[in-house]
Amino acid sequence: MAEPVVPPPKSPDSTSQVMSAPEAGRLMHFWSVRLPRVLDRWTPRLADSFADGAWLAGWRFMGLVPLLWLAVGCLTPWLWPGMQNIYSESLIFLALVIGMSIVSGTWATMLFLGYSLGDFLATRQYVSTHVRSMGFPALEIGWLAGHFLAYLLLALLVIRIPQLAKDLADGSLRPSERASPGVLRALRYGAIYAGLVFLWCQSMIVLIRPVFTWRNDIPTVAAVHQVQVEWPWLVGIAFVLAVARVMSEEARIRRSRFSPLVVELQGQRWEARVSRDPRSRSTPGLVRIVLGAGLITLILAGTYEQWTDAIAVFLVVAVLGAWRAGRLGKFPQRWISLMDKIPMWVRLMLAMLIGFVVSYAIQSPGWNRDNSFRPGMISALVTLALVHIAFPLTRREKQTEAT
Amino acid sequence: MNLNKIWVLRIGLLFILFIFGPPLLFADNCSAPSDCFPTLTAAAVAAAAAGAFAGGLVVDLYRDWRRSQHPTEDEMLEDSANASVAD
Repeated sequence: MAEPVVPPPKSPDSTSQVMSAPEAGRLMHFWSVRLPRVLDRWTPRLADSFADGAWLAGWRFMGLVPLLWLAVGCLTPWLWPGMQNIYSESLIFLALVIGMSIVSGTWATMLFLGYSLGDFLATRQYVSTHVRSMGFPALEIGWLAGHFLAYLLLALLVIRIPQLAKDLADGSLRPSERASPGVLRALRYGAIYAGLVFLWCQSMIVLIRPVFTWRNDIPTVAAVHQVQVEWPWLVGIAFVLAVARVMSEEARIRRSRFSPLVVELQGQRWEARVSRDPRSRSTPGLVRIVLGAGLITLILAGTYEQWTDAIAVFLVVAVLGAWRAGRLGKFPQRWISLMDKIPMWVRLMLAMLIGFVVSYAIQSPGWNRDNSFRPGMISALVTLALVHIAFPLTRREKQTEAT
Repeated sequence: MNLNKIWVLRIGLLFILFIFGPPLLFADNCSAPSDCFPTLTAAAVAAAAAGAFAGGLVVDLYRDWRRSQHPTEDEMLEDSANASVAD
């Protein structure tokens, strides 16, 4: 393993306190710089998630902790009390995952990878011994595919939400405000993080259903109860830990004796990020729209009753994506300018609130009469369209699209 | 077709899920939505949250792809600003 280049200490006082990267642990350099550099080509967001734990560098054995979480995750499906089918059945495990994803992306990602691997093996073992079906698609595939969808939803909580929270929190700041007092930044980040966890919990009530319905089963009460009823705990934990993370990271970078090491690791990661090879990610615009629509169609599978629902969602999302990209008309310039002035998190919240009102109106007539989930699916699509309207293609994005 | 293209791999992975995924087994096992949701408000919140979450994800995804393919000068400066805050 190549040794990282340690910059010379800036002041003589720090010389005796600074621990070089190799001394502090080659493993931390591996998690924060080397591994993300390898992953950058394929999954930049996963790479960023791995690099997120750099702020903990310096403490003893810190480089080994991700391996511990990998082992915990791997054993969870077999040993975790109360988890019969899927992770959402355990409130404590959900709290652990949320906590890990806030404290260190490296830990959370390893916990996620360990859980996915362990759960896949456990499910496969169960399916091979207990499930027998004829025809296509076989019930065995239903079991595994449902669990794959659940891993995707967990990945959103572990990898995407921390990054989205950071984007939304930073997106509402001017460059000068980014150096504002840590408490305010921490509170803003905490509130946005908690809001996203709330969104995830509420959407999981519907989105986790394929784990059961794809194997011709009924969702267990436990699988939904934690996110539907106990969500205030998860949201509260997310808020407290997100605030604590921002404050602790700031304190560590400003005052800790490991500050030079942390800054060095983060600097190396930043250099790798800005020098990502653009050619490796050259995905045609149309393919991007199709991929995005396909992903959302898969994620919203919990709201479908028939194949036609999936096709309808795919088409609607693809049309919305094409419209947003300017391939099917354009947003009025005044609207784009107006939206540009409103912070992203406010726009998301407004879309959600209006979506809620529309959803209430759509679902109200058939409530307690129909046994269809279709009004829920239509409501979700309306809210999705509102998000597209609230996030038009900005001038900057247009410029990059044109290049 | 150049199979080394990253998007070919991505779209392939996605469609493997579709091909082997069991949408044919879509089954609504809630006898009525009220079995799944205690109130109409809860059902409306869940549906809106699912839509907002999915919408936020896909819009972020499109932005992310554009940004990663064409990092503009503005964004480089933005990254520098973030890095200097860290300093």
